[in-house]
Amino acid sequence: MERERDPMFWRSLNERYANKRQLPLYREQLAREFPPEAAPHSDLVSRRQFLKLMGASLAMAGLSACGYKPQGPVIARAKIPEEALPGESLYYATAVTLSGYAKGVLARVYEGRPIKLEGNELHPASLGSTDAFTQAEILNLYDPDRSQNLLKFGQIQPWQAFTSELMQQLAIQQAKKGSGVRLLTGIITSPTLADQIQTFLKAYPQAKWYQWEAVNHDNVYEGTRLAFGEWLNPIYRVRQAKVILALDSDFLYLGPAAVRYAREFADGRRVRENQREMNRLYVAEPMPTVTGFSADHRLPIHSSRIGLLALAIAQAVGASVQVEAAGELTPDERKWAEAVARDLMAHRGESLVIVGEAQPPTVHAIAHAINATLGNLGKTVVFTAPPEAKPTLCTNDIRTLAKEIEAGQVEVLIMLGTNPAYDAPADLNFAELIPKVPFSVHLSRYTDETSALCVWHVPESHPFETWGDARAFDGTVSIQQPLLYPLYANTRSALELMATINGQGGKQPFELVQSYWKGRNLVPAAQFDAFWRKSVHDGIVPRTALPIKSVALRLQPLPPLPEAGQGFEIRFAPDPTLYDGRFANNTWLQELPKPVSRICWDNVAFMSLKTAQELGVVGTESVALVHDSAPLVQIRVNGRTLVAAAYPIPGHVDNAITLHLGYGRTRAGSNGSGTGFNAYTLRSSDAMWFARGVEVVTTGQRYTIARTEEHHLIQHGQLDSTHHRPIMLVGTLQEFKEDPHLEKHRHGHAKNGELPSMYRGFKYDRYQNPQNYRYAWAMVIDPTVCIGCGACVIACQAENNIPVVGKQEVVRQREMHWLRIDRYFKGPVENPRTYQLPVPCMHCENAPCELVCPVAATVHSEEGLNQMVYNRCVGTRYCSNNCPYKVRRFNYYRYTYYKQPVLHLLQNPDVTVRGRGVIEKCTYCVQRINHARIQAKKENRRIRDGEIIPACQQACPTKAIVFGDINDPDSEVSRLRREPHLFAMLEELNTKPRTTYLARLENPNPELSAEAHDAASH
Amino acid sequence: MQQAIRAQAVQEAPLFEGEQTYERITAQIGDIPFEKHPIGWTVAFGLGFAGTTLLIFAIAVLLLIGLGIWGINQPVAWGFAIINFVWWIGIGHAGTLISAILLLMRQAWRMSINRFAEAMTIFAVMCAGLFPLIHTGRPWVAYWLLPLPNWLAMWPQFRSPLEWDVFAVSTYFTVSVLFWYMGLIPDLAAVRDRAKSQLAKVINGILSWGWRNSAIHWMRFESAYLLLAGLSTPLVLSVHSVVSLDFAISIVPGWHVTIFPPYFVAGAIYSGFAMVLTLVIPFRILYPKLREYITMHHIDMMAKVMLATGLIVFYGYMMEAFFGFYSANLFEKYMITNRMTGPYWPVYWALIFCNGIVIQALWFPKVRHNLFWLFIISLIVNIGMWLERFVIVVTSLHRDFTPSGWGMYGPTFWDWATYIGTLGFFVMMMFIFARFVPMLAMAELKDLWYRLYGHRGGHNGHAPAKEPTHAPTSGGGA
Amino acid sequence: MAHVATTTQPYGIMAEFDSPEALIEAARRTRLEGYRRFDCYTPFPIHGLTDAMGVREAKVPWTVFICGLIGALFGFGLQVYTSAIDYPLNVGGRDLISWPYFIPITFECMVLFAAFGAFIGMLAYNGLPAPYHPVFNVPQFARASVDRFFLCIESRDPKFDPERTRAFLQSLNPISISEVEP
Repeated sequence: MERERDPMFWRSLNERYANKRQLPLYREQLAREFPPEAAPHSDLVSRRQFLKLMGASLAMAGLSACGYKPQGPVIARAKIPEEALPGESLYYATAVTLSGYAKGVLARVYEGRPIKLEGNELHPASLGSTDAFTQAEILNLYDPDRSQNLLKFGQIQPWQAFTSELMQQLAIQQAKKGSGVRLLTGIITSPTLADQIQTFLKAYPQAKWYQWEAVNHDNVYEGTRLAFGEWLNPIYRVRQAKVILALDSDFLYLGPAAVRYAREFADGRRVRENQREMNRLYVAEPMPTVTGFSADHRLPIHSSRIGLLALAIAQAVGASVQVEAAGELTPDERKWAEAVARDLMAHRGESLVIVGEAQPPTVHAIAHAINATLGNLGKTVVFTAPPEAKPTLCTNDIRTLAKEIEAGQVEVLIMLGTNPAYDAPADLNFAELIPKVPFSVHLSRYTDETSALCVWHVPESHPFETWGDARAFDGTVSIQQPLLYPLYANTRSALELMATINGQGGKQPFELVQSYWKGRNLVPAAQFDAFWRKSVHDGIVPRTALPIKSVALRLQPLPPLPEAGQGFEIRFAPDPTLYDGRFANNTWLQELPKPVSRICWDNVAFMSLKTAQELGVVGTESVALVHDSAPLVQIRVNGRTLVAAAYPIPGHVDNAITLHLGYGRTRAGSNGSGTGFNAYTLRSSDAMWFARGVEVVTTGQRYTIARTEEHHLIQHGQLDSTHHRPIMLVGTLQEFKEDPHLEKHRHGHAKNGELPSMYRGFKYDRYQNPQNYRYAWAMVIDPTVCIGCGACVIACQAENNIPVVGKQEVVRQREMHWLRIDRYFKGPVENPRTYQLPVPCMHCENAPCELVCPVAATVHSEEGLNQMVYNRCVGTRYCSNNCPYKVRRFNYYRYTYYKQPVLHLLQNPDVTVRGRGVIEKCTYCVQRINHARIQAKKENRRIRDGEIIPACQQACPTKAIVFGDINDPDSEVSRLRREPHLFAMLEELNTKPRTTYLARLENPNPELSAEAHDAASH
Repeated sequence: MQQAIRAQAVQEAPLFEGEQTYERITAQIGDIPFEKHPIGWTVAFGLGFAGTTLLIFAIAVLLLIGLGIWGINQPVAWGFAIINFVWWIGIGHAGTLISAILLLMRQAWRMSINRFAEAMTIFAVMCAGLFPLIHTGRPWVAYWLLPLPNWLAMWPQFRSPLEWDVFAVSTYFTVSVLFWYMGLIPDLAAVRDRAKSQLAKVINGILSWGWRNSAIHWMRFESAYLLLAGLSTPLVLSVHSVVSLDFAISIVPGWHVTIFPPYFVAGAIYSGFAMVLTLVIPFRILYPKLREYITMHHIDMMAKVMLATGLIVFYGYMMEAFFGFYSANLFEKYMITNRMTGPYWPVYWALIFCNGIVIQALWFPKVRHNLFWLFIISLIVNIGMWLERFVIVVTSLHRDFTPSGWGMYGPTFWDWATYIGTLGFFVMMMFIFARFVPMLAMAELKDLWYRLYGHRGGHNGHAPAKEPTHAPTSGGGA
Repeated sequence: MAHVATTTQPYGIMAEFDSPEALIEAARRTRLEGYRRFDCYTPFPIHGLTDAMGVREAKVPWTVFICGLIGALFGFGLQVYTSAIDYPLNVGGRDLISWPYFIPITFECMVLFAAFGAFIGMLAYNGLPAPYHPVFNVPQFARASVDRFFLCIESRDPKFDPERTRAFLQSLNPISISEVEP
């Protein structure tokens, strides 16, 4: 596997943990032997070993075989009858948290086991949609690598032993008022948990509570302090904004409100024949992000120079900002800044400037000043108090804690959930510090890097296994209700652990949560039960959103902008799929082609093509982007070095590299360990997000990267990954206004829908009488609002039991995703336009795949579905060859999760689990169609428009996907298919796809639109 | 006048070397099964057997683990298996051509090589037929391709070219076997009559169905033989046309080509003759007797056929390129450019070298009469034709319509093992054939000898009934 | 010998020749002589021989033709029945009876059936397989598959008479004459 290819990388890590070799963790080694989903397909041998070790996984089966009945009176979503019918799913509202912040979900629970998460339309951070992380959370629940036992130095211990030892330690501390006790958690918004912690801190006044998140928003708080004199939580009203400027901010993809922002952004962007308005997005950033890909104008610029840009814009819009800044903008950047400023000024009160968490507080403050000057405060941006239980600056917290441990002041260290040994700033050497603490306890779902260094490891329950609560970005509280009985007997939630510490061990988590909310007196005691019932049922507690604060700009003296020198810059960013590394063992997210780069199973050092060539990383341009194996480079940031694979990506700023956090883990689990390169080893507390003065040297070694999209055509500096092919219909808003059909861009597209054919073909027309009314299913996708976040891909994977194949197989181009997101570049290599296109099965009426199947394993339903009959398929794969869209997938091995019995619980019972040797592909979620059909039949009516929502459509934050019946002229999909700018991919092949697209429209600023234009008109 | 020319031609390019009698012909060929075999036979058979073992192993692993052990992927879902299938089928065609088409065209020189070539056909088709079977994802249900209401009471889907393959290839195999076996019956009878051991007598007796050389039987035999030839001729053309339709029916750029059928058939015959030469030349060394019947004249004729078909194939390549550029179709144009300059350009140009350039040497009689060079060229042609199939299958698939779905293909150890395995199996079968069956059609040779030199062959030396005025053929009279 | 001959009727009397020409001549004269039930045995097919014997028939070609016809009908019928009548399916929007797609298999079936017709027909009309046949009782007959040409007048022939027939054959000056044990 890849490990051998990069000995250096591994040596260093082994050295790093050499002293911890005496902690043999059985499953850890087992994991090394065979990464469950990944390696077994690589060769004979590992499969043999696999069989030997089947016993181990069977043991897990035993554990998982107990009942899944949740404890405490859970309340079912009313959209389904409360009493569970066999074969019928129940939907429960609960919440998934990411670094403390909640996203509301409805969990589909089938016969006692949750199998799919869907957005909760009542929840402010979800609005019915989800992001990829949320979709993948269900896999975390069933992860076979989850820690199941209480460990002391790696030896399994009974709870009794732990509690007595803990109490004894605390008793000692009691005397010193707990001066030696330190509590380290992630960011906590949970009122109940916070309450427990406060109780604890009351009992131990000298004890201290620190919070640490590797991906934190310290800068946001500091920025508000500089601008308004207090820590505030900005909330953007993206829908109201006509012009949006994002400075080094991926607000459409990352952050507690990303899903909501994406929805609002899309709402301001949908163009129809009768709706010809569109917002405009400017993005300035070093490395292309989801947000950058959606921009009408994108400016590649070093993070350290964003400040200059912000300042220039501030001055141009007339914001009075005094800050000392070294460095100059280039003429182009200045031109860009001025154009943006003019555009912003033209939209006072309906413009918006957003700054990313990576930017120093000063830049945030400048942005606030700009918003204030433009009169956006209270309109497109509002502020609330921080939703966190105890707002803090994570970096300060971890720094202080490190100092205290160094000074030997910490005798008892209790860590809830965090993993500082892995993700704390490198200069603190946290991994060396933890063993210095005499009594350390670590609660986590995995025996991770930190657990390995602690005295005690306490296995943590998954939120779906217990009661809890959490706040959303706007403070709205969700009650988390358990969806199933804990899979493993010994796991505890943070809340339970704190309760135990506080001597309330006897209480059920349910009581803890409920009693806390009783105590809040939100409603008269008499009404509490109804209130509680409604809150749990809806997934949100009414009237808990934080009030909007009316704020006035009171600029503090601003610290100088970062030194914007010309040196080589490194930028750290949360990984698009692994976030800060917590999802490292989640194979869905590992294998999800990363938005923007389309790489999976690894992170790489991104850089511009020019830089790559200067470094000698790549030779000629064309070669640059075709190669599967990337050269390894050694990155040196003030003394610390890391070897990572270098990878050129169009649109990256020159003389800079971007490294995503979250990889290179050693104890993530059998799938996460050993993937990618650990960026934390370069990240220091004084340069958390970017640093200058980086040296990069090639090592001469190479490293294989798994990518799902590879080929690009570069001709004299112009990049065109469509190879001049009429894959997409692209135009500008202006062109649309002139000619909504965009004829001038319909190159290869057949202008008239009907092409001649030898055959009469089939008619899918409807019959009027309701008895045998015939549906005709179809889908319309709007790439204009698609941001390419990949939520649909994971949703599809979860809904349709799509297996993970592992890095080796992805390298062999055998990934199984039914839905992929194509990404095309056009324009100058330095900063091309990018177009993204979700590609499910087209369900062609003249399906080329069906024609060539010798056993009629793929045929057409009378409703126009291109059906795949798995148990008829013999696997000639001719259908795949003959599919011009290449949406068919083949089971080259037995990819399904049969090796981990616990993962059987995850499978959707409505969808066949495919065996080896058969083709599979998108079915338009036929199981959902039939479910609705049965409902409709029972009620003797037709299926209503919008009653069937495929998994992809459901997850899509921007609602770019619409599914429905085109025999019903009033259905939304029918209306969309009548839009003038509708097109079908490869129309000229006369496949008559049922999946069609609307033109990808962009709204360039005429001032800057030169390159936008020639990109649009290829 | 014409007779004179023909007689002259016969003198210059003798179809027999040395003086023959019916007795001698029978003894020379009919006794081979009873004689001790040259060491070369043992060596070749050993190699073939080793290859066969490898093949069985490779297939076992394939069935146990799955198609993943091969290099195929999305988008290149067809790889070595289909390449080899087409290659082997093509090789088979020479046999049928020699036995059927040349028979109808009354080519005297076919007589001494047809048995041999037909055997080659049968074994080649065996190798070919293996691949479509094991390349399916679930070979254990491959029988669903047969027209039986087998699963969910379903039938095969007759619009699929793969289904056509099932019929074409199985028909082709059956007819070839019938044709070959039928021609064998009288010779087996002859072996039966000469056999010393009782066992050989019995076995050959049974295999020859008690054939007794009756004139009336001969009459029916000949009309049946001629009719089979008449049926095989369109059959052999149809088979490779159908194989070519496996590609041409699809919409994949580089497959969706109208000239495929003729150009595939030509290619098939081309590679087939190359393989015949590759086999005949060593066999002549191994069994010197054969030189009396497979003369330089035969070799020369085969070389000429190779040249002719080779030129047709080359023309096909040029047409493909021309269509690609002339079609003004974005995808076609890119396809051909990609073949010539894309990542697989060496394969394409190697193919042009093998099938376009090298065979030009066959214009020169010197080359056609130099066994060594002929052997080398025939090998090169075999390789060239394999490369052609590689180009067609892989370079068309790996970059088709949507660039986002593009990829690369590379064979694995198991791909090679299976391919080499079938080569071994083929060699093994050829040598088993040589060991137990009269390698040449004795009856037909005697007939030929009688027609050409009957006046000299007859014992009571009076002139034969008729001069060999027309090119003789065993079917002529029927 | 005589009484043996009277007790058991021989299969026939066989004359051996050393060249095709001689045999053809002999066959012609045998027929002129009025014999009908006789047969020739040659190592390879000799043209004009059956003419000389006055035998002509076209059973095999007709059999092949009929079989081919049946095959073609079967092939096309099978496809129409299965894909349009027994289990109609919408495949790629093509018509149920998309006849152009049905041509190849129709053709292959035609060839297959016809080929079997030819092979089996030939054997059947020749009465093969024949586990036993009297002619093999003649020792020299082994050379019938090598270089000798035989003519055998069978006792079934009405004109057959051991002495006269033998005498007649003698007049064709063969290499040898022998009686064929039944």
